[in-house]
Amino acid sequence: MNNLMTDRVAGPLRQRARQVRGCALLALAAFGLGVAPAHAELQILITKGVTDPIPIAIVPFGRAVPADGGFDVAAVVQHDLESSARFRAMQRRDMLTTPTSANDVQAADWKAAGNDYVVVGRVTAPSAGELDIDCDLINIQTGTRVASQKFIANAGSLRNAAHLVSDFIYGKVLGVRGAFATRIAYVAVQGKPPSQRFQLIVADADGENPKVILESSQPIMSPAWSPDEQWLAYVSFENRLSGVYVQKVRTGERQLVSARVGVNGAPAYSPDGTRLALTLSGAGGNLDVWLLDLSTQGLTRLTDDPAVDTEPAWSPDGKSVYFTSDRAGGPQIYKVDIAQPKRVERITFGSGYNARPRLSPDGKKIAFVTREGGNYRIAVQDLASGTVSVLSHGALDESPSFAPNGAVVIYAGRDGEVGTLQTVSVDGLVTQRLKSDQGEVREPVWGPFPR
Amino acid sequence: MSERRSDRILSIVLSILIHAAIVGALLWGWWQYRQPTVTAPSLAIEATVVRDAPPQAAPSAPPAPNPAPPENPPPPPPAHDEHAEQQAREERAHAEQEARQKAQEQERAAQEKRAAEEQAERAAAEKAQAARAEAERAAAAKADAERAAAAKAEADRKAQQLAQQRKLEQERAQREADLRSQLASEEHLNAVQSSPAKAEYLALITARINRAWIRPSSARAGVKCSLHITQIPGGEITHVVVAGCNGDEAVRQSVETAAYRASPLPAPSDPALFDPNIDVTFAPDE
Repeated sequence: MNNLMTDRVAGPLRQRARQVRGCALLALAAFGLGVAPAHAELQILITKGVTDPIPIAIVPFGRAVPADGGFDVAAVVQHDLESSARFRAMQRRDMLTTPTSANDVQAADWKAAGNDYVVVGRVTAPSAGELDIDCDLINIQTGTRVASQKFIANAGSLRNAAHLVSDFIYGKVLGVRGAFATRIAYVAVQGKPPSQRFQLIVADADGENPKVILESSQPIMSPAWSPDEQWLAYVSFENRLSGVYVQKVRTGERQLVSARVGVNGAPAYSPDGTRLALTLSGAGGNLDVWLLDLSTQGLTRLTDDPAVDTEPAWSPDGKSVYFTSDRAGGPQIYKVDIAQPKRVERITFGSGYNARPRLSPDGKKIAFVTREGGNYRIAVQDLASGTVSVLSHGALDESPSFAPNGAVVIYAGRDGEVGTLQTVSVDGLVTQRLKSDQGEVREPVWGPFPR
Repeated sequence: MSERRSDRILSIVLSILIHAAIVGALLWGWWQYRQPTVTAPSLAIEATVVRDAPPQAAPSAPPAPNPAPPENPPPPPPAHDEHAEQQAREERAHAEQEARQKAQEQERAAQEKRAAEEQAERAAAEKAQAARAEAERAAAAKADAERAAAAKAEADRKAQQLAQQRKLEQERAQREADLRSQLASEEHLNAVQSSPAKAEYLALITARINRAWIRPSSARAGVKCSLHITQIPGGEITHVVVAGCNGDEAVRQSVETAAYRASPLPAPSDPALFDPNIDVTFAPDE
C-alpha cells in the first residue's frame, strides 16, 4: 500500500525532475561552469505509521519530605500511562540517573536506552498545606523540551494531581485528552443470598480511592453518569419495587424520578442532561424505551413493539437512541431516531446475541456484549463500516463503557465466581484488571470529563 | 510504469541536445585550452627592486694639518763707537745671546707645541679613518644582505608564479574531468532514476520511516506534515526541518521523532541514488 502511494506521488515528480535536470545540463554545456548537479530530492509519502507503545521514561519525582506523605507521583503516572497501552515505560532499576529537572537530563543516555520521551518532575511545598508538582516533558529524539506544567495540589489531592500529570503527558504526546483524572461508578455486592449488601461505589479511573455513595440490602442496578459528572442515575429496589433515582455524587442529595407500575429500569442521561431515557413496562409488562423530562416529569414513548426493548444508550449528538430488542428473535441492537420514532434501524447482525450498547464519545463506534461460541464477550463495532472486533476474552463479560477519550473500554469480567473490573484498549491489545476488594463488582460506568 | 511516446521523444531530443552540448563544451574547452590565453609568461618575472636605500656616501676627508711657519729672530741692531761699540757690542752680543737663547727656547717650546698638536691631529685622523672604514664595511654588508633578500624574493615570486600557473592548469584539467564525469554520472543517474533500484530505495526508506512513526490519535485523514530530512553517507540523519504541518503539537512531535528514530536510513543499492536531501510527507489516509 505504501509503495503504491509512494509510486503514485513519485511518478510525476520524477518526470519533472528529469526535465529540470535536462535544462541544467544544457546550461552546464553552454557556460562550461561547474554547477552542482540538480539532484532530484527523494520524495517519500507516509500514510500509515504504527501504533506501537511509545517508549517513555518517568523518572521518580523530587520529593517534598515530609509534606508529601511519601506519595510517589511518578509511580502513579507510570501506571496510568502503561494502562493506556499507548506507552511503554522504562523500568526504574534500568535508570542510570534520576534527574528531577530538564537541565539535568543527559539526553544521550536516555536515547541510548531507547526512549522517545523523558518526564522529570519535583514536588515542592511552597507553603503550609500546599504541594506543587512541576513537571517537564522532554522529547529525547529531537532534543526539545515539549512542555512544562505546574499542578497545584494538597496532601489530600496529590493522587488526583498525579492523574492530571498523566493526562497532561498523554495529551501532549498523543494529541487526545487523557482520561486518567476521571471517575468510574460501579455496583459491589457482598455476601450471598439471602443476606447480601449492595453498594454503589465511585472510584478513580484506576480503581483507587473507592467511595460508597449508597448502600442497601436490596439490589442496586444500572448506574449512569450525568454529562456534568455531578449526578448518578440508578435503579434501586430499596422499596422492594424498582425505582429510578438520581443522586448528587458529592452531597448524597437524591430524588426518586420514576416509580411507575411494573419495571422502572436502565436510565441513561441525554447528552444535554435534561432527559433520561429509561425502560418502562407499565401494567402490561411489555418493556419499551421512554424519555423522561427531568424538569417537567413528562414522559414520551420512544419505542412501541411487543418485543422487549431495553438498555437505551444515547448517541453523543442526542439525536438518536440505541437499544437492545429481541423483536427479530434473539437480542440485537437497534437505533431509533428521536425526531421520527417510527424509524428504527438494526445495527448488529453477526452473532445471535448482541446486547447492552454504549456509544463511543465520538459517536463512531458502539460497544456491546456479544456471544461468541458460548462465551459472552465485549465487542466494538465501527458504525460506518460495520466491522466488529471482539476485545475481551472472558466467558461472562458484561457492561462495556467507553472512557471519555474513547481509548479504553471498561467492563465487568469474571474470575471464577467473582466479578471484577477490567479494561481493554479499543485496539484490543491491552487488558487490565482493576484492583477491587469490595467483593463482587458489576456494571462499571466510566464518567465523563469533569467540567 | 511504461513511458508515454511523447516522453520518449522528449527524452531522445533532450539526449541529442545534451550530447551535442557535451561535444560543444568539450570542443570549446579544448579550444580554450589551446589558445595561448594562459597567463603571460612575462608576468612570471615581473619584479620590483626592493633595495630602496642607496649605500651610504663616504664621509668627506678631514682638512690636512697646516704647520705654522717658524718665527724669524729679530734683525741685529746697528753698531756705534769702539768702546761703546765694544761695550755695546758685548751688550749687544749679550743681548743677542739672550735673545737667541730666548728665541731658541721659544722655538723649542713652539716646536714642542707643534709636535703635540701634530700628534693629536694624527690621532684624530687615524680615528676618523678607522670610523670611515668601519662605516664602509657596514654599508657594504647591508647592501649585500639586501641584494640577497631581493634575489630570494624574486626567486620565491617566480616559484609562486609557477605554482600558481600549475595550479590553474590543474584546476582547469580537474574542471574538465569533473564536467566529463558529471555528465557521465548525470547520464547514469538519468538511467537509474527511472530504474527499479530507485523504486526499491524509495520503498526501503518509506518502510523505515513508516515503521518509526508512532502515529498519535490526532493524526487523522486530512492531516499533512512535510519534513526536509538531511542525511549523510551512511544514512545518519543529521537535520530535520518541519516545512509545514497542519496537525497539532502531538502530530508535529511524532513526525519529527519518527525522522530521528528512522536514522540511519537504508543505503541505496546504487550509490548514485544517494541524495542527502529527502522530502517526507506524512499524510494519514484514515
